[in-house]
Amino acid sequence: MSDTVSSDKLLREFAPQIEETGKLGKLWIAFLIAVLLLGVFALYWQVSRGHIVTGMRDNVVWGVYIVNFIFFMGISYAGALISGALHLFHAGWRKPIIRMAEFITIISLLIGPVFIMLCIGRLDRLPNLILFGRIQSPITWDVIAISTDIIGCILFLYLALLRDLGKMRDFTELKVPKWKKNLYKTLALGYTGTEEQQIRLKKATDIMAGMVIAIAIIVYSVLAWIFSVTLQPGWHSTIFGPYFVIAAVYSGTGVLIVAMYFFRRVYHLEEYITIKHFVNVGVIMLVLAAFFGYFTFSEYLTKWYGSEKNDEQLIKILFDDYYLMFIFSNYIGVLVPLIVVGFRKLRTINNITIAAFIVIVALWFNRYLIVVPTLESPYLPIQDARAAWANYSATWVEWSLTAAGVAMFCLLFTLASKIIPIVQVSDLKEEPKETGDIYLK
Amino acid sequence: MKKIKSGFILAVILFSGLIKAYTQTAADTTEPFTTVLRFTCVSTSDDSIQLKSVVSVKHEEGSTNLFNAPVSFYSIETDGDVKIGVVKTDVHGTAVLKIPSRNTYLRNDQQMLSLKAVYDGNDKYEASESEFGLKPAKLKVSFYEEDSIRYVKVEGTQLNADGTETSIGAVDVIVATPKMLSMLKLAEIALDSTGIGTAEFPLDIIGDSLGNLTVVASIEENDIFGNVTGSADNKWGLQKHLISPDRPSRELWTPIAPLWMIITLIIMLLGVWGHYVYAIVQLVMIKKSSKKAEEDIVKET
Repeated sequence: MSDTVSSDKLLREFAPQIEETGKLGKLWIAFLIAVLLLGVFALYWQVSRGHIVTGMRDNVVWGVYIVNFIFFMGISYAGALISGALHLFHAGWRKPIIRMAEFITIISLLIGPVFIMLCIGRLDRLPNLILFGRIQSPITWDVIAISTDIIGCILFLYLALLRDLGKMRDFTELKVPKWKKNLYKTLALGYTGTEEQQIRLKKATDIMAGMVIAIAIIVYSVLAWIFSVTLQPGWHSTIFGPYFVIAAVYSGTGVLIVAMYFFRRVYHLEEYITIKHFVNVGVIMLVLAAFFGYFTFSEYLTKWYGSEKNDEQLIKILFDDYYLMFIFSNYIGVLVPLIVVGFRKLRTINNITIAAFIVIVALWFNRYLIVVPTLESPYLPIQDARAAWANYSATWVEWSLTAAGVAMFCLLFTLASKIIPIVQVSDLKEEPKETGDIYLK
Repeated sequence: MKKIKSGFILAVILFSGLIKAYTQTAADTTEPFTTVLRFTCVSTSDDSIQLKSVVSVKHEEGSTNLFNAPVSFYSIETDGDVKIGVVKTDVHGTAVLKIPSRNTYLRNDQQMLSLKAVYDGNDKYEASESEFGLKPAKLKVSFYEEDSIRYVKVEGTQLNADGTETSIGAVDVIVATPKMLSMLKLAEIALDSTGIGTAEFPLDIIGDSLGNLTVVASIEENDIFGNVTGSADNKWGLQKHLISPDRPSRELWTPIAPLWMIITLIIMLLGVWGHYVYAIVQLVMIKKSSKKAEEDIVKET
């Protein structure tokens, strides 16, 4: 079967998801917009009344905003790493899911930094970061790294989209508004798939696939160093860089599996996204779970055994005040994927998706446990302060803006799937539905 | 019927529980909170005595400072207490009143002033008070240089009731300089019988960008003089931006980052952006090749 016939057939199949939005889809979008509006109101509340409406105070100056920032940045790097690595290793099975990984990267990369803005009390001073930035400051490293990463990821996504854009420009049966047609035409850059164009595109894509992996590792390490270069109990750790990278890819894998599950159900992609894809990404998640568990154990074991006064105090807080969160994050969040994917009989699409969802929640908790308890147990003791000032508890404003961030992520994902097929169509040849995969034996 | 009966019993239990909780809360709130008043006096070098009191409230979670509480200051005299003034506490629970060191308040047999701070309380907070006795005194700080060695000199005098000044003898004085979080101790001087004491001034103390330093001499919690402070400025501190002119440090206020950091950043950014530019160039070439192909088709037709 020729490539053209194959992709035309696929485009014909995926056309409805781009051409029209069903009743349920409209309802879903309306719901997301409603949550976003709640976030807008919460933002107005925060800006008009100041940060006193949040749970952040003099002692605990970082809360769920920073947790969300780390979380979204994490899943974005995961998308980059997964799509880049699968591309470089020519993993044939990646094709139906790689577009989702790329979307996850870009969308979460756009949302993550917004939470930093929400955390800053004096937004008018934000330009000072650029105007008077000193490269000795880890915050400046982060600004440079994130902006470089955003540009790199957009470039990589664009390269990956180019062939599909060309196909969609040439696909006459597609009933979309004129602006969409013009958009495809402009963005396709006249790509027709000549030999020269294919070679150039392959070269650029290969090189960018390598770059996004490198950048993702650097950027998330920089984010980790913001914590680890400070002399705070629980943060001043040499393994924070790799620990953050592993945790990021782990959470991103979870998001990818959940996205695969929903898009498979909503757009009826059962033929393309099969149990094989869930198991393969599940195996990646299993390996990452083992690494994450190892890093977590190593981190806390050394702190506990060292018995340094403030580390002891921090571990006591983690096991007393945050007991359930700690257990969920570091035990359930590691063991469930290991068991579900590790035992062949448990490897079903539903089970793997549930495990992935648990991973997402566990990793959000993990970030919370890194940020908040440390600030609640500083080296300089908190004296003569009310309990509400010494301890952190997020307010409705913070939860609303968090929900708005998640809603924005879902909304952009949904809208992106209305412009570009959620499955790569240009080189998705119809592969035989083999079940001879080693993981399925 | 059974359902109604059990529902009724449940309602009674809930209602009685609520009543109990309400009465308990009401009982809790009617009992006034215990307050603690800490009172100290500091004789300062501007010939005044600072009366300072901090009012805090004790509760289950610990203690918090009481805001806007009126604190009355008195001089305790044989004929009864003489009111000096009333000051309301600030957000930190602190009320401060300054009186001149040379005042008309009566002293006791030991030439000491007896002062008292009183918080009268109200329905919500209990009353509290505290006393403090002191003999007004003064510390004078000066500096001199001898044989290229720098010294700090402290002279202590006590102010007598008749207005005369006599030297303080055999008292320990701490010399320190204020830093960001606390006082940095420079020396501890024992005043001699003439009330004078000296100590060598350290050379490695960091001042501001011009090398300015504030030096504070203080007598703390002395049985006779209470707290006494005196201060003076000098320019003997190291200039902050000249701490290590030959070696840029990682501190944010240094104008230039360490060389290794600049080189690493440039290498990384060039490496990354070089690849980006390469990818963009490929895209431009793709666009160009498509234009060329279009032109070829036009020519052929």
